[in-house]
Parts: sequence; C-alpha cells; structure tokens
Amino acid sequence: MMSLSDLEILTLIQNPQTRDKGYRLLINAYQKRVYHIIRKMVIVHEDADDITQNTFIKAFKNLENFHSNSSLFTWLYRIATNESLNFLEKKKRRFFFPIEDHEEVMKNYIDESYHIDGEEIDRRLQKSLLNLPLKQRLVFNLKYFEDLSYDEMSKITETSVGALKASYHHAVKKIENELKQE
Amino acid sequence: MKNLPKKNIFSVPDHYFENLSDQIIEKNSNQRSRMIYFRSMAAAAVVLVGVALFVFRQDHIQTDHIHISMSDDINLYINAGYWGAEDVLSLSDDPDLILEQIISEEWGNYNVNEMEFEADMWY
Repeated sequence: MMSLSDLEILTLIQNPQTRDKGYRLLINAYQKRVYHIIRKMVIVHEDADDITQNTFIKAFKNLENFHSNSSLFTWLYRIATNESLNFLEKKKRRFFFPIEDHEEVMKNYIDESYHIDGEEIDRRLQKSLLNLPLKQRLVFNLKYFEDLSYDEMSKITETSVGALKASYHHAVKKIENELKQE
Repeated sequence: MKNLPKKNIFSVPDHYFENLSDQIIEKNSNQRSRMIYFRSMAAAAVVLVGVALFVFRQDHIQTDHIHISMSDDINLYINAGYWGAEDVLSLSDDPDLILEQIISEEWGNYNVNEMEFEADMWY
C-alpha cells in the first residue's frame, strides 16, 4: 500500500506545474536504497550510477502504469533489479568471445577500487557472491543485505515465495561451502 | 551464515547523492527534448511527403485537363468539317498507326473463319 508521502509525490508529479518538484522528491526519497541494491548487483560505481539514473527516468516515463496497490518503493525496486539483471546479461553476451570477462572485472574492482570499504572477509563474501547465478545473487542480496520479507521480494521479482525460499537456501549453502574451502 | 558480515562495503564519491537528483532531472529533460525534436522531425517529414504527393497529383490532374481540352478541340474541328481525314493524318506523328487503328476498329469484330472464307469464295 502507498504511504502518504508516496501519494503526495504522485499528486505533485501529475500536475505539470509541480512535476519537477515531485520528481525531485521521489529521487530524494528513494535514491540511496535504489542505488545500493543496484550497486550490490553491478559492483562498479559508474555502472550503478548509470543504471540508477535510468531506473528513475524509466519510472518517470511509466508512472501511468504504476498501480497504487503496491508501494512506490516496491515498484522502483522492480525496475532497478530488472535494469541491473539486463545490464549484466548484456555484459555476459558481449563477452561471449571473452576479451575481458566482466565477472573478473567486478572481482578486481572489489580488490582494487577506492569505492570499496570493509574488511577482507567482507570482500571475500562479495567475491563469492559473484559465483552465484544472477537471480540467486539477487535473491540473496534482497534477503540478506536488504532484510526484505519474502512477500516483498515476491512482489519485486514476480516469483513465488516458495521458489524464493528455495533459491535463498541454495545460495546460502553455496556461499558457506565456498567460504569454508578458502 | 551467522558469522558472516552484513556490512555495506560499497561507498560513493563525495556529494554523490546531493547531486544525483539534478543529474537525473537534467538527463530526463534532455531525453524529452530529444524525443520532441525527433517527433517534430518525423511530423515535418510526413507533412513534406503529403505536400509533395499533393503537388504531384495536381500536376497530373492539370496535364489530364490539357489532354481532354485538346481532344475536345480536335473533335470540334473534325465534326465541323474544318479538318478532313487528310488534315488529321498530315498533323499526326505516325499516320500509319492511325490508319491501322481505324482499320482494326472497323474490321476488328469481323472474324471470318477459314471455312466461311472458302464458302464465300465458292459462291
């Protein structure tokens, strides 16, 4: 369900005279959460920046398709996760004859970038996550880092709760095994 | 999993989130104006094609008018007896073609098979 501030934002956006103000409020309300779910998927800041901007622009263009029975947050998360998955799928296809493996690019970024903090164990976890299938990694991120309920995840990914639980369980087992071996 | 960290290790450049809304709104308005530009170019192209078709059709209709009024004039001269058959043939670029046309119009329907022709010859 929509919160009161979501309603206020949508009302501002519907009026051409206050549209930009509404857009700005929408971005300020959700930019950090949207950015971080994208960043956890694509790892590289510049890619996450691009996808975050595209996510909001896509949301502006498709606001008439937004159904008020879900929250703006759920809807924005759905666009953000779809955009991230599409981006990574495209990278995979582009490197079908790999000159540069994008998975390796992301692992190196975790080791070398200024925009990565944390201890060795944090980086090891992130690099292990990169070995998971894309959708399993998304499920893991939504559950483990974002602390979302399975119901919310189900709305975002349009997947059944049962499938999400199974996917998360497999992801956890794989990560535990991998970290034990290292 | 209980021992695994939940820390967010991904940081952003300084003031990144302060400027993000401006960047998104600027990008959005650039995309919108580019879309408006392309739409207006497409509309202009449609109008141009429409005008070109209209002019072409007008030209075609005018040529038809000239042809119709010329053949009216010629018919008038012929019907008034001002032009005889020889005059018309002498004015024509290809008098043989006109003669052939006249012959085929006059004789075209008169199909005689070989048996009838021979019978005609017999009697």
